[in-house]
Amino acid sequence: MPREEVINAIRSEIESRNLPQEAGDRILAFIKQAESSEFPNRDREEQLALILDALPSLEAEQGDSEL
Amino acid sequence: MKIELLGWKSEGLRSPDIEVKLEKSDGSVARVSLLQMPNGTGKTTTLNCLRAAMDGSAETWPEDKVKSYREIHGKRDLGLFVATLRVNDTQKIIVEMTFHFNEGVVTYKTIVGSKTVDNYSPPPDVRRYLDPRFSKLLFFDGELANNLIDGKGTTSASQIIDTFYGLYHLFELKENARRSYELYEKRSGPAKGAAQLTKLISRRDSLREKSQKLRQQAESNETHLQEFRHEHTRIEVELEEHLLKSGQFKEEENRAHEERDQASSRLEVAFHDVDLIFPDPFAIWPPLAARVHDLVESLDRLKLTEQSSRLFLEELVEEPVCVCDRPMDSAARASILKRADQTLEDAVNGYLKSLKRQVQPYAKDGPSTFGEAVDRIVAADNDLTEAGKSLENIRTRAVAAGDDVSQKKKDALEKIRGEIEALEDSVENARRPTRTGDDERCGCIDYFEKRLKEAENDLARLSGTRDLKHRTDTLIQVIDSAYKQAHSLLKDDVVKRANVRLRQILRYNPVQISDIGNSVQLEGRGGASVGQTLAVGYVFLAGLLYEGGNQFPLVVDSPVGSLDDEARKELGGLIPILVKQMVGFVIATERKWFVDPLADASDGDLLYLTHLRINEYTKEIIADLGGNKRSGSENGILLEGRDAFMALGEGMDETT
Amino acid sequence: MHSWPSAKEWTKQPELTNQQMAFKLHKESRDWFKKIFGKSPFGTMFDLYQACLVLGLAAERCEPEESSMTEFMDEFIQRYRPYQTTIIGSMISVVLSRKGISSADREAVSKEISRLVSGDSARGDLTIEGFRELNGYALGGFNLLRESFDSPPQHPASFLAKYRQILEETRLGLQI
Repeated sequence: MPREEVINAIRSEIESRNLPQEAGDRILAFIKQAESSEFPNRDREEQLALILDALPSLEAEQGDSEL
Repeated sequence: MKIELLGWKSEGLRSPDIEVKLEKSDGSVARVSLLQMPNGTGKTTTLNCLRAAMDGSAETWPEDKVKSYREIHGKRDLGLFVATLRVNDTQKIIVEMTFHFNEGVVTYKTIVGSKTVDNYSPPPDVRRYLDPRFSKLLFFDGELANNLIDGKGTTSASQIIDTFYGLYHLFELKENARRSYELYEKRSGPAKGAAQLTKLISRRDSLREKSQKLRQQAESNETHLQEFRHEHTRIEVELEEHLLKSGQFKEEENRAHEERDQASSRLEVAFHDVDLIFPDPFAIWPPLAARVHDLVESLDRLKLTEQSSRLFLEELVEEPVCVCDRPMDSAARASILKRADQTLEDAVNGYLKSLKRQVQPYAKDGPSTFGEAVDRIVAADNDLTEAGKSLENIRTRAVAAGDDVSQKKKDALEKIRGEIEALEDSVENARRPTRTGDDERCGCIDYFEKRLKEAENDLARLSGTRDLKHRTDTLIQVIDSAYKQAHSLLKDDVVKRANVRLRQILRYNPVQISDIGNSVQLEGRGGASVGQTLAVGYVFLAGLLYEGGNQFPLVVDSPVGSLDDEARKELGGLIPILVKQMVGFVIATERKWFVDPLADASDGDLLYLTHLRINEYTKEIIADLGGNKRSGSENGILLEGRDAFMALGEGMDETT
Repeated sequence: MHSWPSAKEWTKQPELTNQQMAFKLHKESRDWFKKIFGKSPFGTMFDLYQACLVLGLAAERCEPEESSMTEFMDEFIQRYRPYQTTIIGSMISVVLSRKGISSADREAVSKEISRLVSGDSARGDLTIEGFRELNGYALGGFNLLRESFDSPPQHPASFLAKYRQILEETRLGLQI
């Protein structure tokens, strides 16, 4: 498990930036898996894609309907 | 997490064969174990192997490094190093490293309880602490403590905190995100600004509009074209009827019509004939038939068209007797197989036979039926044209001789023909495929459709890249801020606890840590004494290693190597307070001023071990050293006991 | 949903397609022949191919396959199947001559034929190399046509007349 300080820091950053909680969950899941040392590159990329997916798009943040 | 080093064993390596057990009779490990190993006893080898046993790093050692661990003048092909750990007081983990000197590789075996695995495989919860980044903290030399203060080491104090608390996983995630974005950007082009995006959107819209406009125009033109054609036919028919009413040119016209119809018919037949023969290359171009005849003849001469089946020959060699009734001996077999080798594949064989058959009916120099049919087409076409001209001529004369009505109709026809031609050109240009030289002034729909598709792709890529960049940047910002926050909190905690400890230990001369960055920064006056510096270094490390109920073994090479008397005394008194298990590798010259304070502060919980290589010289002195023989082999001995430990002469380090 | 590819796509391998066993013509040929395409005897692309191929073989002009060629069929169409063998045979004879392979050299002749012909009649009897050679002669014929005409053909009759003339000229060696 990641350290409590790390968990709290991630969560508070997510909250203060109004980001979806899911993004924080996925970041912590990534770290947890990294700690286990069984984290091949392919899985890392997939987990990273999930994190990025959970973050809001440029369009959503700008409210730009053209994109 | 509590990890204790219970001991190790080594065989066939550069260091003497020995088994070192750190467990006391009650099963616990001594707080401090001092292992006295004179120079040449393989201290470096042992330390390196211990570390590799804990973190699995020998799996990737290069060949020459592995081979260098072989005992000098050794004959054994294999070497062995086994380290035993105990986790949380109950679970024993044995890591065996086998050195394959000939191949230059090290293989691992991990035994956890009763389970054996043929590679480096400590349990997942333990593995984290045995990661090379972490194990680096457990193995250090006396310089490390100093380096923490002056910031001159390869690892800064701040990095040590990151390593210990696993904060480097945040950096890994950040790196992963950065690299992935760069890879994507490399494939798709860099993210550009909003202005670029607006420009692209505008271009896409303009291309879309143009393409739509051209389509509509083409459709409209096609409709008009149809209308004009109908109109043309209608007026033509009216003109003809009008002209035929007057008898003067009727007969001429009838004849011209008939000629035209006949020419048209002949043309149709001629085209039909060409149609029939066109698939036949020999009909189009007879010399090809001659060439193929020649080919077949040469194939016959080479006996390639009437050969036996290759498959037949290959199967024949399996028979006991040949088709000619001769026994199938090895000579016959070889001969048949050679023949089979020279035979074409059956399918190709089949093709050639078919070719030979099909070319037979053709003469080598036959006439060109195609040529004849083309002649007939040309003739009929000419006749048709003439008939058409003739008809036109009759009409012109009829109109000239005739009335206004015919003239008007003729004029109308001409005008419509003009419109039709213009529209046909326009539609053709719009509907054709794009070609080299087309630009935005052309009226080709295909050109604009293709440009539109490109613009749409560019736009998708650009907006996709921008979006990805935005998300990646967000993630990196989150990580950076979270790291700062977590690191700061953890560091403050480390500093706080270390300072409490320092106040306890250096009661009369306390030194306090103000901050931890590249180095451990001390409060107030510049420069602490050597002793104080060491204290700070060890307190810092110990604070990490024993925080939160954790315990890890500290393996120190030359803990007081370069220190003066005072510093040695201080450190000797300090270590047993700070650590729960330390294994110190010392040489005889390090004992003075260090061992006694160490023993006092350990309150008896100190294991004295002396390890010697057995040679002509040491054989003589071993008996005099006394002590208990803890273990031994043909080339090494391990003695236990303070007397033996202290009796070993300092001169030992100058002899091997 | 995001507008950028997922992690899986970043590591996607390109697909392999088999477009080597097919009849190909220059991609501009459809446009060049457009006025006569669809009219007798050029009702199909294969007919255009035949015209180009026979001319290419007659002129012994083979040009290497280009990326500007597009395939239109991967087997002989019904109308041409009875002549599949002789069309290929014509190509073989021209190739052997072009390569200077002696008709007495059994091994070389055998090897060359095996290179061009698979004998798998369902797949046109041709190997990949065989298709390549055949398409090369068709391309050579097409380019020769383009060089010989001032502008694209307008009418089948006039085209056929000129075509026949160009064929005759190859016999006289007036074409390169």
